[in-house]
Amino acid sequence: MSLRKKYCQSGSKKSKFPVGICIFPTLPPEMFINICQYLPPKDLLSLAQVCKLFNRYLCSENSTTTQEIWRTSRIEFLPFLQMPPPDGMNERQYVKLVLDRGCQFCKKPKIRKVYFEFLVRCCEDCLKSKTIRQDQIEDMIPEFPNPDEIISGLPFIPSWSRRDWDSDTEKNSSSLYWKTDVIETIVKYKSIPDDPSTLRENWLKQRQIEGDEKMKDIIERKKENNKGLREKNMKNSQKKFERSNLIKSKILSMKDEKNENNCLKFDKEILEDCQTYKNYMFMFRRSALPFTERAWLLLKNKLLKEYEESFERKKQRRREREKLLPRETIFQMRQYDIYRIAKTWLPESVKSIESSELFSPSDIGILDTSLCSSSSIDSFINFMEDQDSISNIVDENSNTINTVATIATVSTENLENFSNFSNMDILPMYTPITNFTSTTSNFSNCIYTNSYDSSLTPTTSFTTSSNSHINDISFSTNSLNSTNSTLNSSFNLEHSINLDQHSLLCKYLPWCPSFQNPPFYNNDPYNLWDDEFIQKSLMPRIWNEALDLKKTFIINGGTMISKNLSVQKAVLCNMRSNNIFQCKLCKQQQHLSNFNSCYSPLYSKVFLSYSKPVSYFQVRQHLFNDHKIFHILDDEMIDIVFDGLIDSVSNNTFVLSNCVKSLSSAGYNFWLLDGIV
Amino acid sequence: MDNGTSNSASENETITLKSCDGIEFHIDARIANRYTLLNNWNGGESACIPNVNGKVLEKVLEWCEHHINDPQLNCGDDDSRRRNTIIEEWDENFLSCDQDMLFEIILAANYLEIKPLLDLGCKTVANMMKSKSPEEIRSAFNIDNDYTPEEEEQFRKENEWAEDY
Repeated sequence: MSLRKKYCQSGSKKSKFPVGICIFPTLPPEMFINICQYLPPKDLLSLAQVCKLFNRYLCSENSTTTQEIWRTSRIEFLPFLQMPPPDGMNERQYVKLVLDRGCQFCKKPKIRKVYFEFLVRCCEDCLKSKTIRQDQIEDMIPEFPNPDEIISGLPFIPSWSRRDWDSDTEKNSSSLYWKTDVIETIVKYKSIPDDPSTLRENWLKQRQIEGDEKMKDIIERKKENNKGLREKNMKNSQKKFERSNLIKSKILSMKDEKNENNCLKFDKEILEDCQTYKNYMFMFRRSALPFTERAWLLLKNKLLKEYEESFERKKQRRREREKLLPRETIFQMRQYDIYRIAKTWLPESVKSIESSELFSPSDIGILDTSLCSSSSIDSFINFMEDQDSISNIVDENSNTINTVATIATVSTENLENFSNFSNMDILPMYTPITNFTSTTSNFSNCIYTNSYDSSLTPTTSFTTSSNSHINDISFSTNSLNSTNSTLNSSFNLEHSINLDQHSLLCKYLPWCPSFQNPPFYNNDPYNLWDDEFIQKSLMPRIWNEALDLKKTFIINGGTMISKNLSVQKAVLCNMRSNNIFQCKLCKQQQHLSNFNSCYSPLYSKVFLSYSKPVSYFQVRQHLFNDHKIFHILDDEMIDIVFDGLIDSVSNNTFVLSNCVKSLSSAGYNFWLLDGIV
Repeated sequence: MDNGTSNSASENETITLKSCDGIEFHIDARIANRYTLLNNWNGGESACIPNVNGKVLEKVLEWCEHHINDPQLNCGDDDSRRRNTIIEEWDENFLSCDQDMLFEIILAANYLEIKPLLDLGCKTVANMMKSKSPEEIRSAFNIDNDYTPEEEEQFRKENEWAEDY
């Protein structure tokens, strides 16, 4: 009060109040009541526990003001509790009876069942111990012939509503009465003199009327409450549904999270195997609370911890298991590891490296990369027309002079090829290159403007540079760094020209040097790579090799199509779908059979169906399925029948599945892994 | 409560209010008329507000000016006033001041009988307490806990309130 006085006199704020003391408790009661009218009963109860003053305001059971606060709050915020409290209960008790949780007697938590008949909230056990069955009452008062009449004024739980509870007992259900009520009533009845008999009769009548009233009132309350419960349950299940969906979508979005190498951050299988993941994705969650950001962080951390543990466990298990496998199998296993990542790997991750680091002399020239992109020459032209960017590149790094030199070599080679191209009939499947030829003039102009000084002998030719890559499989940071930076240069361009990138990697992967002969830790294939190495070093390197292959075989290969065509060349020249491949084994078989005229009947069928040239996929499938050859050596087992004309162009779609068998027909040799992966 | 003459007060008519610490405010006379602002206003050109300091009075008058065109609420209509628990954005910003100021505005509104502002202040305080545990309320308002640990324990046992209310 003194504080308030001060306030009124001086009127100035804060400085007049001791620091850290709120003037809230000093507000006059009418303002406290005003505030309370906006609070639901739950908050009122919290408020009552804040300090003694508030408790006095809210828990003075005899004060009409207190009752009014609670009544207002109940009517405003508890639509299913609109009936005034029953006789003998005040507002706060009534609200507590219905809203509180836990058995009133044994304190068993979470009990919410309210028996309006007895105005208690309790568990089933306590109910049984506190009540008495109607048929037991007869035994209590054998001296009276009319037990039912005596207790007729008492509220009871009717037998029919007890049927579910008593179904597992041998007894029939019976109406339940509150024990102490019954005892009190009997005592009362006994105390009434039985002479004249009208005294007891009148009393019984009176009680019966009262009893009827009570039961009516109870039924109304139950109705009201049940209606509220139903609505609340509906609302809650809606909330639970929403919460559950939100959690699910958040967890699912984790699957798309990328790390700094632009690779998926989490292994889907490991993630889906985490207990927390399963719990939240497949089990019904009970909470209806709104899902906060903090809750999500906690959940995510829990999940991440499980994920890490599981990840390590899995890796460890793998090491243990692989120890038992032969070296060859492990070799293929590592290749399979690469393949699995290659399926989704894209080089966007290296987009943001500074341009000054991009160019290194030993690299394949910038232009080579762009040349490879047969699919979108337009953007390449745009790039070339942007003369400033080229000169900028030259200015930025004196080393680039070498790069330009390389460009010059490669491009001169290319130019020769182009002339060859124009002389020969260009096959329909090479249409992109046709486009390209038409832009040659543009291209050559631009090259010559930039490479005046590089009429000097070029220091590096493409072939040597890529060879040095291939040989460089030792695991040294230095070489890795250089690989990285050289790769970046190509990626930047590559990225801008919008290749069909996934198919590029998957198509050329079996022929990439770093795939055929992967750079193992300490030259031991049993050592697992860590993700960081695969994503940051190995994949970019393989990517670059794929680009090399593409360039070599699309641009240079075209000239050689008519000449001695190897299987690898044919496949990489995009002819893998053309029917130019033949099974050498069948051919030999044919020879033999012609010679012996008693060939194995098994091969007859095989031979018949594969006497004609088929596609690469088919011939490999044939080798795998019919000859049971699992390690297919292309050059030794496959023949090429090519007369310079291609009869049919099958579509070039290239679908890879995880199945070792089908991968085998695509050029991979994962035969040892059958049944392991 | 409004008399005929005050309602006809022209827009330009101003009166001077003086806070308890001697700061003077020139306000639109319509404001003064609207909220029986001054119990002791004798109809003259200036009036003294003995219980409200300049800073608080300035805030209160700011609110009055902003709401000068609001429709008059029927004072007896308690229910409609209470049901409307939504606070307008301007009001919310207006009252997002420090707590002491908030309570002083409530007191001033009570003293000056500006019922809508009083309700607004109380509503704001109520919102600050909603869905909070006793301890959270204490720390939100810096209220001393004058309960013994035993009493607290007793409370905790008695009130395991359901989370979904």
